[in-house]
Amino acid sequence: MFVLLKYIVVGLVGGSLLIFLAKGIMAHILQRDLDYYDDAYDRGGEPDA
Amino acid sequence: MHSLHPGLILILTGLLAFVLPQKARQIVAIAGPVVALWALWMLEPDSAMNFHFAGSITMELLHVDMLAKAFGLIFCIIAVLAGIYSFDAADRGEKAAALIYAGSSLGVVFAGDWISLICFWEVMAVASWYLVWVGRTQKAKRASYRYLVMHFFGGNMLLIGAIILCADGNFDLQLLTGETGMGYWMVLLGVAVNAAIPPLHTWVADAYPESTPAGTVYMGSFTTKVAIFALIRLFAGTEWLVAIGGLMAVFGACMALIENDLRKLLSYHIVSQLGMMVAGLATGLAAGIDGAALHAAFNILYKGVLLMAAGAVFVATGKRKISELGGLYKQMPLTAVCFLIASLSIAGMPFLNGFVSKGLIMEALHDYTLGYWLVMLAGIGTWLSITLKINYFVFFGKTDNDVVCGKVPAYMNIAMVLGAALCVITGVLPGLGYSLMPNQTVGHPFTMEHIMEYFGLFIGATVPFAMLIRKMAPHDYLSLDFDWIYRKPLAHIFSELSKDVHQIFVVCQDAANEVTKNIKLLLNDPAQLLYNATHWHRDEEEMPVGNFIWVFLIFCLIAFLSMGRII
Repeated sequence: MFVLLKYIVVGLVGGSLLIFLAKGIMAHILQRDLDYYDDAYDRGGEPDA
Repeated sequence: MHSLHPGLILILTGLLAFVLPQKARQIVAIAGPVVALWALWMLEPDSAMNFHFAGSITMELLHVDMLAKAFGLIFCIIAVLAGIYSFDAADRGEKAAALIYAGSSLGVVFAGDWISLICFWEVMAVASWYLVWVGRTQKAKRASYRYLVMHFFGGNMLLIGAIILCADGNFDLQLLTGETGMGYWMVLLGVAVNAAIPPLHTWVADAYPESTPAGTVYMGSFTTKVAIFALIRLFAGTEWLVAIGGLMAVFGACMALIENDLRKLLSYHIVSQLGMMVAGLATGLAAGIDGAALHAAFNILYKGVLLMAAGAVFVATGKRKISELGGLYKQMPLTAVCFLIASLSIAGMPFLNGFVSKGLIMEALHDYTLGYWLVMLAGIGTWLSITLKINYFVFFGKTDNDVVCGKVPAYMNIAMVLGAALCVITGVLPGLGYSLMPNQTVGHPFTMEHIMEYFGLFIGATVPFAMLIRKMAPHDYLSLDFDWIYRKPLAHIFSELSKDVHQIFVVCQDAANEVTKNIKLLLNDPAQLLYNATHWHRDEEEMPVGNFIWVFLIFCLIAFLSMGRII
């Protein structure tokens, strides 16, 4: 029973930490609009028209 | 005893599939892997296939040991399942590339020397590139070229490293742990690309989702697992990789948590799972090496089922974004159940196969505190990002989306059910897996403490997920990754550079055209040339002929003076 309680706490703390890390920090830093990379295409060697 | 190479059987089957008509190709694509599986099962430790060339060089194409047989076995099994799953694929190139890809992966696994390994490694890169390209969308083609560049970079690093290591004339593959030279680092860099070790992992989430549903199943099974095989064979016991593996596992799980694209999420999760394997094999302990190999094998099974189910969802709905899906268990119950089993396996639910292999890795990491807790955290991330997030938002949760479902072909369902059944069988009978591993480490997964540990983690991690359920809903954004470096600033630099280079070529070409034109004029009508030269105005749009005359005269003067000096 002690083992179960111990790992419930680990799961609770670990899960909260991961959600905070991913959804709270990484999502804010890393997420952009879907067309973010589009302007990087079709810029080959030929000058723009 | 025989010496039939299972990889070559698959490669030949692939070539055959390319020329056969559709019906025959469908049969061959399943029969080939079955024959390869039989050939592999019959291999003995002294089975050999050598190829001699250039007088004294011998390629050891077939080097049989327990590790190679274990990886080969699972490669053949997934090739059979993927063959069933892609039964109706119409593109002959896709079928051929998939079989050649599987065959070359087996070729790497059974390679006994550097030359064989690198040859099959490169074939694997090109065949898998085609599987991305065959998605045929603009995004798929672009992703495929990025994939190819990454893999050619990795392949070249491996080649340079191998050349350095083989400078003494010994081409045998040997454990490199403990070495520090340039060859060691080059080989590690080359393998790290395929093992998707950050920041070299970006091709996984970039390319895998763009392939066809069947192509993604093949891709998720071979390249990265071959890299794990290579890491075990060459770098087992490199202890600093324990922390790298742990960080990699957490990073992949976090990226999976914020991802909205179903197949991209699963691809990020491949990085996380690879991290666990890297951490395990880096310990160098018998349990760690066996755990990494077994986790790779089981990962091929449950990840295969997850990717198959994601592909089935795409086939049935035409959608791959989680935010556009929901409540699919009513319309696709079989897919939902198979996905649930595989997602519980990957999280390490007791009596499913992920529980067995992860148990060995955790046992090996017991004395590596940082690695242990990072892998534990990544395990919680797996539960959150795959088991809870996808099952809730795609299959079992309520949704406002009006999702119209088509029919999933029977052969796709058969492959998924077989894969899910294997997850259960290998989970309930862990001895099956243990007996195939190189060190034959026997774990004791079904102790009450071990089972309570996993149930405790799952219960605990579900609480914040349930409390923050609105926050957990994925949003339709693009997640930046390390590929930002070469898709934004580097792309801009290369674009500007290529414009400048293009401008130089334009100027050179104009000059060459003008020279040719004036030489012709000189030969045909010298008077006109002289007239042009004397009547040229700078405002004229035409190429200034006068410039040419001046250049010509200066050239003549220089030539005259040079002649004078020479004489």
